[in-house]
Amino acid sequence: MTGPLAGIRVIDVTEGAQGPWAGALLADLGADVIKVEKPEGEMMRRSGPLKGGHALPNAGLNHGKRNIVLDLKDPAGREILLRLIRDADVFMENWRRGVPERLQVDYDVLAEINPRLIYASASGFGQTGKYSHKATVDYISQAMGGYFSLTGPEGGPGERPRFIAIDFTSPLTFVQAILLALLAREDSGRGQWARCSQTETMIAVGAVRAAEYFASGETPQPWGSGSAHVVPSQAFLAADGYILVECPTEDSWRALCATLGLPELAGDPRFDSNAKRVERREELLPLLTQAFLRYRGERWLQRLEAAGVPCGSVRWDIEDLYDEPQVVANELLIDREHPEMGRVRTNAVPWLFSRTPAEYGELAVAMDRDREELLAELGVRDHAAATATGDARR
Amino acid sequence: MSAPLEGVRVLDLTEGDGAPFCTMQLGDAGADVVKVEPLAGDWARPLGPPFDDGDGPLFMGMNRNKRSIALDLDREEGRAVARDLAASADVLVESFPRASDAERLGLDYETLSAANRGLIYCDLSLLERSGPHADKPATDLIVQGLSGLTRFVGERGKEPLRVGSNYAGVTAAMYAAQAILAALFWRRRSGEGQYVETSYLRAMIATQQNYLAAHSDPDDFGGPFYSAHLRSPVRGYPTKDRNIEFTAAYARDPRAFQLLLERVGILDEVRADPRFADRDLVAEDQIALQPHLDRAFLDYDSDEVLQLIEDFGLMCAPVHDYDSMFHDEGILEQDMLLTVEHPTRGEVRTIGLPWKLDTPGSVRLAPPTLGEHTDAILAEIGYDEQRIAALRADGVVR
Repeated sequence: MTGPLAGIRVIDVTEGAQGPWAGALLADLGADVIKVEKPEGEMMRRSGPLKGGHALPNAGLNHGKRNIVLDLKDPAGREILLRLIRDADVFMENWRRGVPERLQVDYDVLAEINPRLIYASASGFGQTGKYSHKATVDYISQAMGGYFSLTGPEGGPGERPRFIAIDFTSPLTFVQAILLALLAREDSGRGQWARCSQTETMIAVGAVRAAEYFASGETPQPWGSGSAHVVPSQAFLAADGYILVECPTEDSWRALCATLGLPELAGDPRFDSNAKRVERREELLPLLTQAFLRYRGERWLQRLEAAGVPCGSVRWDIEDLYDEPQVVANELLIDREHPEMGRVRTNAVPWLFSRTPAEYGELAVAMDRDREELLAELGVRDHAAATATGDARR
Repeated sequence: MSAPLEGVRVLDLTEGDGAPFCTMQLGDAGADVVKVEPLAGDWARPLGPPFDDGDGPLFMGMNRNKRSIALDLDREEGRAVARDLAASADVLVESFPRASDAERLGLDYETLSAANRGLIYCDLSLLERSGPHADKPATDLIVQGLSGLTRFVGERGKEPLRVGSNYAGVTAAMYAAQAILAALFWRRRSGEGQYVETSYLRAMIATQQNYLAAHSDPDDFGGPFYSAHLRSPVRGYPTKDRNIEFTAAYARDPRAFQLLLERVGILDEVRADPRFADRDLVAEDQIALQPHLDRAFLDYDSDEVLQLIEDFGLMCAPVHDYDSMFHDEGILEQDMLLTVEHPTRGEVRTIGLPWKLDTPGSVRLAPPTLGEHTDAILAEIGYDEQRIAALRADGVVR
């Protein structure tokens, strides 16, 4: 591996998305990530659309990792985990509260074996307190984190963004916590217990709306396609469909007025600052709405782009991304081969490094595929393994 | 124990609706972040609400733990100051509108790394730096539309909606901060800096990995989850005081959902529907049962019904708005509401940190006023009083 984390070994016992995606990102960063999976397989092995009997989302979600199946309730399985921990830099878990203690693999136990270990815990709602015992999935955490309340038609009750908004941001703070702890270890020589939760991340994602709440004391509302902060910043109906237009600066506002053929608006003292446009949006928007109806969306977009006004269209299907010129030119979609599933499309790595480029690891491998290799590395004879995992090995 | 990034100096050339979140995260982790602003200030400063003379929430939400210097990069004298600042920085983050801006300003990686080999230079763009639309003006909303994020909100055939916070920008900023941390780690081992980059668009593609994979010629579409964008809006279920959300899936006891409906007294009503007359209810029925569930909890307080649902082993939560969330003891226990002293507003509230470490980060500084630290920052890189005064008199700094 050539990434910035080359030489770092990660033991990943997580399930779902929050942990596995974080582990996959660490693999993209060059770490040697070993996924320790339970004998019946983690939940994502069965979740989502299948191809040839394998779950497609899991293929990408757990890419770049070696795999060993261990039954941690069995002393033999736990013993192998502890051997793995000895040479590891990072241990990642997102079990429910109490499970690490029950399995006797909590921070105190593992830190005694390896004081340099970063023990990284991701939870739904924290390690202590009223909600810490609760299990969760993405949309439950969105509810708890206030995220239903920000989106929806203007003045309405709010609705949930129907994608996994927290499952794909909570891994990012999880990775950050691990990287910060690794950096701290460079100075202290010691590991630590690094924690993060889905509510913490959800609140961070909504930082700007929280600041709005703190300043005004009023709970932030959904604004349809529009914005609490900027007018105009929303969808407008052109002759053949909706386009998106935003004027975050006075330059872009004046350019919009000129493009729309409404030069008198640019100098109109009722609308000559964003603050006034927000305050008088009811008065202003009908004037703009009327003007946009005159031409087709594509024509507006060409003119607005030439005038320097942020604008764009709405992609309604994931297939629309496949031939989107900016996506294609930057190779943001990657087709990868899986030995049994064939072609699986995933995202390109989410960052590029000039000196330590990522290598694309394998898509999620079969359960327990790397058992022999890993046990050989540890110098462990596999006497217990056959009984520990038994028929569950696939 | 000291914060993980103590002693790390970050030169922050970002402004606007997402990128500043990246450098705020570095500041939260202990870095000294120097925010370089145009003389008129970050363009997000005046964007409310509230629309008073002070800074609005886009700025206040993403710029704590930074010091501000106002510098005119349109003039060579200003650019020379920026290069001096970059010479002593460990990390530089920029989100210039156009790909050519960095070179035009003489603030590109080639130029700056020649004088500072260890520099980590992070380029956080909206639409990537190459390709036909690299220089297209964009914002968080525009990237939401382009990347297809908007298909997950609202209803097909109606006016498109936006995801109601700057999701694309903040996600990209989190990825950028990750890249910087990883590059700092590698620098500790190699002594070398490097150029790292990401974009709002790249981040929004990564966010959709599960959906991309799911559309790779599946044998079937495996339930409603991957067609959730085609469903009608989801708001949870009403109770006496507020909506709650729960899922019938993932229960240890497969009968949990049915037992819950029986307990709240709507099972008979459900049984009257021929679709559910003579079989056990399963988790997959939850969507079709929405009209019944919308009436099921109206006689309960949310706290009461959440406890009940939890007792049946089902996952659930209140559907919080920001006011109820920041009054919920279970949220406050996670240290997600902090205060900090602002130079003109007094004590202001701010959110907590998204990670908890034994080498903790902290909120030390409120979002700065424009140019609040200009003199101090220039003095730190060796400019004497006379020189600073001259730059100020000349209108290069503010």
